[in-house]
Amino acid sequence: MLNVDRTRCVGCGLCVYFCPSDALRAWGVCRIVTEDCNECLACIDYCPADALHQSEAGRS
Amino acid sequence: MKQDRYDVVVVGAGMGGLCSAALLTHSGYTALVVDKLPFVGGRASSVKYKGFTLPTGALYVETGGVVEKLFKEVGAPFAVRSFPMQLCFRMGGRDYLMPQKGGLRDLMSHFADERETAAVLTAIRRAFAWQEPSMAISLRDWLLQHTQNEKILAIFRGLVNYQCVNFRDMPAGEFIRQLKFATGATAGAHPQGFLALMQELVGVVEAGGGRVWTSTRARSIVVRDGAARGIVVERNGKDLEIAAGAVISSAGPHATVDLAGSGHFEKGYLKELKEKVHPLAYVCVEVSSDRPLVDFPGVMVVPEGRRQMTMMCTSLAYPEFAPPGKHLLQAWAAPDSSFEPLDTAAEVDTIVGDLKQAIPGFDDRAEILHVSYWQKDWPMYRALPGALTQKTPVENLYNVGDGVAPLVPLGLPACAETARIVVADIRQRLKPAG
Repeated sequence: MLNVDRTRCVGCGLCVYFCPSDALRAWGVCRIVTEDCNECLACIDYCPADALHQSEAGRS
Repeated sequence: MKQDRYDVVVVGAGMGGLCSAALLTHSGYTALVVDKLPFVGGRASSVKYKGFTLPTGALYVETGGVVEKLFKEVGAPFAVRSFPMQLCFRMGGRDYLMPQKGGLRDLMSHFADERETAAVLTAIRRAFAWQEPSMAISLRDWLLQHTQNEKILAIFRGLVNYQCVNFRDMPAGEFIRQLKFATGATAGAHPQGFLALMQELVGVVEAGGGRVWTSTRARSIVVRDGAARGIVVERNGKDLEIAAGAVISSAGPHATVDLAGSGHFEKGYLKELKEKVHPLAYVCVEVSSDRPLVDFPGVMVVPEGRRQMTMMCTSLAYPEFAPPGKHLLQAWAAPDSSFEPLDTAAEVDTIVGDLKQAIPGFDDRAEILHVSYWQKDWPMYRALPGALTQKTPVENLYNVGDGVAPLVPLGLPACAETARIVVADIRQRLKPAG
């Protein structure tokens, strides 16, 4: 499962541009629309603040 | 671990890093640039989103200045198209076009008598001709010594927003220096977006035998005997050591220390870093509409809202940035503080509220495409100019970019200028391996 570390997220919204499922929103901070996220994890590479992570539950 | 060697390695493929590498390869050095992101340009890049071309950070670049000169020097095309620089102030429901000559006097004369206008202009003339104001006082507090007129204060609040800094965060001395520096400058954008401009620098680097690796994270800067010897990167899931005669970091001075290890830096430097290098925050709201939301083709200043704001119907000057039949408006605003903890979502609410007040019928005519909040590790500026020098206490380890800007230039010109300073030093101290 994809998670946002709100202490690291700057709200730049770069992840929004690159999400193929349109599952991310940025309004001062990033939010995941869980039901739309297909866990492709493309956004992780595009986050300049290293604020997006896959949780342990998602990896297993 | 696999090893490789270049004359210089550069961490970060933003404007500072790519300008450095382009100057180096143009001078016969081998250079490798690495960036953790999958694209080049950093905060000076652009993306395609829903048919629009939107920036990752910088919105425009000055034309005829240090950036363009550097591009020309290394042989990179600089296909930036300027837009009209005249400002229009939207105040009290009316629009006031600011004449390009005598504009400040003209604008103030709408809201103040001759005596009050003269008091402010005299203070500015003296600051230009005799002594700049102190850096220890904000522009707002400096102006309050000369006027209490809310409209005049709003005009300056709008002007400083054009420099993308909060009225209360901008030191008075810095504002005056920026005004002097900006005299006669024009600005523009690449019609295909900033990414296309930055790819021109990549072309120079690669033509000169250098390499630019994206999706490559710098793990550490290797320091031995007090000198930088290279970097360790993670590329394609493997660690790789790159040896180099010098390391240039465009990742920001704080990240440079983290990568090299703070134990290699003098305590005085670390104290200055902590006290002086504070990122400045800014917000950009991008809006789509069928018809232009403002008719003015240049920058419109909206200084009387809860937050200082500037906006431009970018698609009037750059139709290429919007898909057919659509227009793009970009509004830029300074959050309440760059330095205090804020509820960033509430700040965006406030800024969007101001935008809706500034544009009649916003809810019926417009759709918010995207909101960018630049702060912390991805800021508007990493620091105000003059915070730190480009050399670090670690021999052959340099910083470039807006975190180590020399006095005067902000943003992209600062990135180009620091690249020029650092590469000039490297050329004196190191010979290309050939």
